[in-house]
Parts: sequence; C-alpha cells; structure tokens
Amino acid sequence: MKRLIVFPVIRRTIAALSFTALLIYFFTAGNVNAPGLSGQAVNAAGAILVKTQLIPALSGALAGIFMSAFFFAIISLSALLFGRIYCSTVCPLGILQDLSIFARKTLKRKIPLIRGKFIIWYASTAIFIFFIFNGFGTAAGIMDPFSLFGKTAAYALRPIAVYIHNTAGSLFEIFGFYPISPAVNTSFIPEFFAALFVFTVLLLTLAFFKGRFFCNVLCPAGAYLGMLSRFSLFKLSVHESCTGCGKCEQICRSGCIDIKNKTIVNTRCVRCMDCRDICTAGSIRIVRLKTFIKRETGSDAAVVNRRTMIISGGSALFLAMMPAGIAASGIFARSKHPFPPGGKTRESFMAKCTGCGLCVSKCPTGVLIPAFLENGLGGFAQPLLDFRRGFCEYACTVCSSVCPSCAIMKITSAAKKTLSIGKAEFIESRCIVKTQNTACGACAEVCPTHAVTMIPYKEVLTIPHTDSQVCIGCGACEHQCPVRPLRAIIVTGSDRHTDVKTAIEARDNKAEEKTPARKKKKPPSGDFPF
Amino acid sequence: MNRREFLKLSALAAGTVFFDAFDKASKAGRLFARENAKYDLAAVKNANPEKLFDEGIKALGGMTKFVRKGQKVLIKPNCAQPLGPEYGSNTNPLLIKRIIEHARDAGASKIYVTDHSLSEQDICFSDSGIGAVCRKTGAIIVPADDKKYYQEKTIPGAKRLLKTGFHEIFLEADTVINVPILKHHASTQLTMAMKNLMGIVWDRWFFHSNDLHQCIADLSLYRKPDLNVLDAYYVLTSHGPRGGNKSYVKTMKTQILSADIVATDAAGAKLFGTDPREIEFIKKGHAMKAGTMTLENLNIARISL
Repeated sequence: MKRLIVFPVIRRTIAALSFTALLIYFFTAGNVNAPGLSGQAVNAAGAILVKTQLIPALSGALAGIFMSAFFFAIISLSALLFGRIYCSTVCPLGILQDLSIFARKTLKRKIPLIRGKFIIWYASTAIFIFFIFNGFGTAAGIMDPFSLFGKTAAYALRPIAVYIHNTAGSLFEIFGFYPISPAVNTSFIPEFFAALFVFTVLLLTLAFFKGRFFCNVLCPAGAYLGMLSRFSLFKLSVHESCTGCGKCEQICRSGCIDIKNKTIVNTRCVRCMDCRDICTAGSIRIVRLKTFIKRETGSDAAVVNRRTMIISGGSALFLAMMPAGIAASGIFARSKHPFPPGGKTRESFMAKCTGCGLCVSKCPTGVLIPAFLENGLGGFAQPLLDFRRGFCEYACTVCSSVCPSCAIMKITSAAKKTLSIGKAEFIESRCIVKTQNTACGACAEVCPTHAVTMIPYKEVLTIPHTDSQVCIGCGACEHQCPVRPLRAIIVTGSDRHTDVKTAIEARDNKAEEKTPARKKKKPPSGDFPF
Repeated sequence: MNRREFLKLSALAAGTVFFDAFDKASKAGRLFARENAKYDLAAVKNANPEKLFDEGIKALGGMTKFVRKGQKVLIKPNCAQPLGPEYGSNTNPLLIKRIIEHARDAGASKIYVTDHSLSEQDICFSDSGIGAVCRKTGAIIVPADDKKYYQEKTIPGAKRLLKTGFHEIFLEADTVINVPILKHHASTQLTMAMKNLMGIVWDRWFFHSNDLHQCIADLSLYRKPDLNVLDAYYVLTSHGPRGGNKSYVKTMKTQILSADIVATDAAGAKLFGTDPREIEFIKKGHAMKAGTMTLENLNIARISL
C-alpha cells in the first residue's frame, strides 16, 4: 500500500499557517475601526485562533462562555480520536520549539528518549489545576503554553517587529513618501523584554537538545491531552516488521520511541508523523484501539500507579499551602492601578487573566502594560493601565474583544462609554493655574464625559473641577497633565467597575434645565459682527 | 574695461540679483498675494463648506495667489478628536476636500495633510472623515505621533516659547494652508487659527506649563501660514474642544479666510460672540505683530450667499 506522505505535509502547513497568523495577530495593533477588509479579516481570524487554544478555552468555559466550552470539547475530542495532534498543529509554543528542533535535524543526532519524569509532569499539572481553580491566573499563566507564547510574542518579538516596521517606513520617508504609519512600540518594557528574551533562548536551547521536553515534562495542557491520548481511537504503534534501524527514534521530537523495546509512549507522542514518514519498512502503523482500557506494555503502564500517588499526595500539600498562597499573592502590591474595562471585578479579572500579553499588544494607545509587582505577586504580568504612557480611548473595546481567556469580558462600545474603571482626583497644590497663575486646562480639554471642567478661579483664570460621579477613570486627564514629576490630576483604579450612565444622564438633564438660553442665543445683528 | 562693457556687467549683475529675489518671492507666493489682493479678509456665509470656500478664495484673488505650480502644499486641519463633523470638534472633511481640489487645480505637485492628534491619529482621521477624503483625493496623510518627525527650531522674537520641535512637513512645505475650526475651548476660551498650529509641534505640554497664551502667540512668529481658512460651519459653542454632544453645536454655515492669522482669530472671536480683547493670545499676537486684530483697518469682503 502506498504510504501516505500527506500527513506531515498537511500538519506542517496547518502548523505554519496558524503560527504565522497568531504572530501577525500579536504584532498588529488593535483598532476601533479596523482598517479595511484585510484588517478585519486578520482580526477575525486571530480572534478565533486565540479562542481555540486549550487553556484559554478552559478559562472561558469556566466563565460560562459557550464558544470556549465548545472549543475545549473539540480539542479534547481530537485527543480522544487522534492523540495529541493539537500539540504539533495548533499550539504555538510547540511550533516555536519545532523551529529549534528543525535546526537540530542538521546535526543528525538523536533526541534522547525521555525516561520517567512523570512525577514532575503530573505534579506540574496538579499545581496548574490548583492555580486555575483557585483564582491564581498569573501563576497559571506561567505554565500555560499559550500564555508563554503570548508573552514571548508580545514582549520580545513584537518590539523587534515594530522596530523593523518603523525602520522600513523611515526608508520611504527619505524620499518624501509616508506609506507606513509608524507603530508606537507600546509593548516594549525593558524588564519584560529581557526576561522573555532569556526565556526564549532557554526554551529554544532546551528544544534543540531535548526536543519537546517542555511539552512532555512540564506542560499541563500536554499532560491533559496525553491522558486522553491513552484512550485515543487511533494510535501509533511499531509493527513487528520493524528492522530496528532506529531512523524513527532518531527523528522523533518527543523522545517517545524506544526502538529497542519497539514501543511508542502515546501520552508523549505529539503526532508529528515524522516517524511514519521516514520508516522505509512501513513499520510505524496507525492502529485502532481494540479494547477501551488496555493495559499496554512499556512506559505507559508505569504511569498509572505513580500518578495516583502523586496527585493525592500533591493535593494534600497544596491545600495546606492555600492560605499561605493567597496571603503571598498580595505581597508587594503598591498603588491601585485600574484593570482593563470588561474585567468586571479585580478578583475575577486576576483569577482568569493568564498574562498572555495580547491585550497589551493590541491596545491602541499603549496604556496597558504588564504589571511587575504593582498588583502584588499574584498580579505579575497581568495588564494594568499606566496613564503616563497612554489613556483609555473613550469608545475603544479592543482589549475586551481579543482576550482569549475571557478575563476581560466583551463589552459594547456604548456600554464602555459609561463604564467607570476608576476615579480622577484633582490635586490643586500641584496645578499650573495655582502655581504659575497662567492658563491651562489640558485635563478638561480631553475629558470625554466632562467630569473635569474649568470653573472660575481668579481674574480671568479658570481652574479644574472634578465631578467624580460621572468620571469613568479613562485617565485622559492624567495623561495630558503637564505637571512633572507628579501630576496634578491622578486616577485611582476601582476594585469593581460600575456603570455611571444614570449619573451622566442626570447631570446632562440638569444642565439642560439650567442653560437653555445658550441654544437660543441671539446671533449678532447684521450679516457679520465685524 | 570700457564704459559699455562696464554697463553690460552691471546690468548682468543687477539682473541676476533681481531675478533671484523675484524667484524667491514668487515661490513664496507672497509677492503676488499682497499685490493683487483686493481684500485682506473674506467672510462668507449661508452655503455648504465647499461653496463657501469657492467664494471666499475668489474674493482673496484665487487659489493661484497662494499655491503655485509644482509646489508642496501642507493642509493643516483640526483633527484632534475621533469625532465626525456634526460634533463641531474637527474641521469639516468637505472643506478639506475642496481645498485639496483647489490646490491640485492650482498645480500643486504634492499635497500633505497632518495633525498631531490628541487621540490615536488613525482613529481621529477615520472618525472625522478627513482620512477618507485624503485617500480619495490622493493627499498624503503624514504621521505625526513620533518625535522623530520633529525638528527643534529657535523662534526669534519669542518670549516664552524660545524653541520647539516643528513637524518636518511644516518646515519643508512650500505653502502652508491652516484650516482650523472655530470652537469653545476649556483652556483658552476659544480655539481658532493661532491655536491650530499647536498641531504641528511635538511638545504641547511645554505650552501648558509655560504661559499657554504667550506660547500660542510666540508660535505664530516662526512661520506664518500662507492662508488661514476658519471653518465656522458647525460651531461647538460649549464643552470644547472635545464636545461630544450635538446639542452643544450651532450651525452657522460661515467661513473666514485670510492670510493674516491674528485677523482670522479676531474675526472668529467676534463671530462667536466674544470680544477679541478678552482672548489673551489674540492680544499678545497683535502686540508681537504676528498679525493685526484691528479689523477696521482691513479690507473685508462680506459675502452672504
């Protein structure tokens, strides 16, 4: 029978396309009005791609989003049918490692068989489950492959892409053309750039020497899909026609083929199909599961007893750690920054956000940055609004539209305009009008709800006044305030977002009653008043 | 050398000097503008923004007085907010379109449009409608949200704004057409032509923290726009400069055109119903001779359609 070489080709094509699409999605800034059809197509494709990632889908499912639950089910089903094809086709961190593994193939040296280490794998998964079900989004985000990829794409790769993009634009500008609008490098934060750069180097080095080590020893998504893979309908198995040449073992990126014993550890196999492709004797076969629970020989069996032991022991340990964990997460928390609009409450937001960096990448004004320790240990890498860098654009809902884990729930533009994420406070002692007796009003200029207005001060001068009831905490005022180093108007984030629509309407109606004369103002007599 | 040869040489030298001066002045367009213009300021009302401009520019002597063949033209609208024209916050895109068309007819080789917006430039240009107009007419939208585009220049005669970073396109364009909108402003009471120039500098924050009115006046000293076209079609009467509510807007269907930036603002203030002497930056601009606020001394074309 003619060996189908189609599998690797299809797999590589899908993997390349989805990886590239995700990268582009991270690189392109979000826009309230997506520019043209192509922009909308990219945004739509990207939005679906991020929701098809396993851990974000789990997070969304836990939040009650049907689409996310649907994708989680689909991915699980794919593992039950075909094994861990997700890991070699969809998972961007897997494909990133594959780039390094591909480079390694030139060395023609075998990636060592991964022996044992199931303790670490399942302990890691148990920790992850603990985190995600107990509201430690950020900790989960350090183990979730999508979030790791996201951080890499947002904080290490995107700044480089933006730099290249802007440099290309500069070349055109020499000749007086301006075809490329320069992107602002909004996701370049030196500490994160350095950390993610180091992480990427380490990951690629690990992949170079040990293949899909991360996927098979640390990754909780891999552990879950691996467990399902044990019972998958179609598996890979070594047929007795095997000549023992070892070519498959050499090319295996998961280190899951033991050619001496002629076994393939299916929980570790990511179904790249390279082994089947390279076997000249056609001995790597796809076999159908004959009995539902079959006791297999080889490494898979060793898993069962240990697993039970580890999970029960581990759970006891972690339950004991819980109060300490919750207490620790607040350590180092400094000022209260707002969290993105759509996050609802600080608690629910921090529980679900895995710090993937997508919202930071797509924020049009660059106001979103990953927290270092501003929100405590438990908030590391989760986004906050820093009004020195930008402000929350009035009608913008980009972050809520792209969040893969539904930590920032989707909101409409109309709802966004009356959503209060914080409150502005005016500090008169710092204000230019007071300290210099000259006109300012930069804050009032930009306030979209007119919560900040200018009221008579002395002589012809006016000074800012804030009405916190209609303030939505967008930070435009703080961003524009020219006072340094400390600004004269500061926004403090609320722990719970509220709707101020009724307050705004009440204020507007009251204003209507007070000054109807303004509209009916008589025009100056004659055609022109000069 | 004999007398004839000496005369020939002198004539050649004089001719070269004269030609050079003539060439420079004609390139700047000012020579012809001042000479042939019957009116210093045109005020037009009661038509759509395009027709208002057609009539106004005719009164000032035609677009060719301001734009010569082969020139690079910068059109500077007020496009600071992501709001459509009916909100009276940004310059009307129809007016921008008409000016671009006139500039093309007058022979402009390249037409640039820019503004250092308060919100992201893309969303301001798209929501205002000005972006679409530019793309349709082939005008080049110049990015402004990056410090690299700005060159620091000293402003001779300035009192507070001794130097600032100007957008390279403002420095390089042969002709600058300033197209502000007349509206209420929280910081300065009103904003018109003089304040509109804040959109071609990088560091606005310096203005606000160093006597805003004086800085606005100083700004007009560096390079006066060749033409100011004040859009008073939709006028934001309160809650400016952003507004955001159509009830704040009065439809005045008026336009003021002039090469004198201070006169444009003085006329605009009167149109709004405010005494220009109450607006500090107008007084300061007049005192520093950036223009004149004494409208009685000017020839004004008053056109009611």
